[in-house]
Amino acid sequence: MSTVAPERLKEATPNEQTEPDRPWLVIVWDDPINLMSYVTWVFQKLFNYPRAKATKLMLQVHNEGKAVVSSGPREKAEHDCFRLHAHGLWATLSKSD
Amino acid sequence: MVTLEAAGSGIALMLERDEAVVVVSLLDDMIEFLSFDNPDDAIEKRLFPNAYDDDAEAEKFTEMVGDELRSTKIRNLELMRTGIDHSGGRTILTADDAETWLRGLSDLRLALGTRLEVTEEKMARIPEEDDPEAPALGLLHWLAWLQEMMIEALTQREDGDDTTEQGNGSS
Repeated sequence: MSTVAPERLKEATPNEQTEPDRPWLVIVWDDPINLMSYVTWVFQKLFNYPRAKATKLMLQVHNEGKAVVSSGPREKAEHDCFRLHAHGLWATLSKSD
Repeated sequence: MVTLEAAGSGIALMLERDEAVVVVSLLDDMIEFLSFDNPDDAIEKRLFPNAYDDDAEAEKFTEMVGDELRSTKIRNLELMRTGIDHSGGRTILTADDAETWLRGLSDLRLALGTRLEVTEEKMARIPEEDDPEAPALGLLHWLAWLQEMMIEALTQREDGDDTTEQGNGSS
């Protein structure tokens, strides 16, 4: 194994693969149409959350306008978003701070 | 009046004729609407929302999943459509069918609600009889009621399964 000279280290730019992976967050946003019971059911079904957790997340969406419902690598977050859209929920993903 | 009840291993949905006529019409309209891209339409934007704040990323995501999302939504509605006809009557749904109905009902409600530009306040209000939006709002609430009944039917089945599998760990 060789070592990299300090000058080389300074020039190297970090890329997505070497940077420690900050997880992507999947956010569900409130809307005036979907039923609270339906949103709760979707969270249980898609993420296998127990009813209490699903209800808590739904209430957070309802009362605070949004909630983080899952997180993970980008591909997983995109897949979760897709499944939420397939159930009529308004979901977005963003990188955590 | 629409009813939903357990029927053997399935769920029996019973629609009256005038309910069935409305639902069939709504499904046909919706299936037709989804058959075309309507990128500037508010309903389309709500059914196919942006997944990213960034426009370029959002567009990439839509290119990646848009077709599959659209065809999934159409399939849900088509399944609902094959389950009923204009004269109403009784349809037996499996649990999977009921879940498909839930997704389809959600999209129907989103389309109707978006067209009516509902807010939480509007949803809670009882419209005046001469309000031209009263029939559409009534339909929106009727579809909600059907959704609630489906969720309850599915939940009861799941709870029933849980109690027969005792000692299976905590939920």
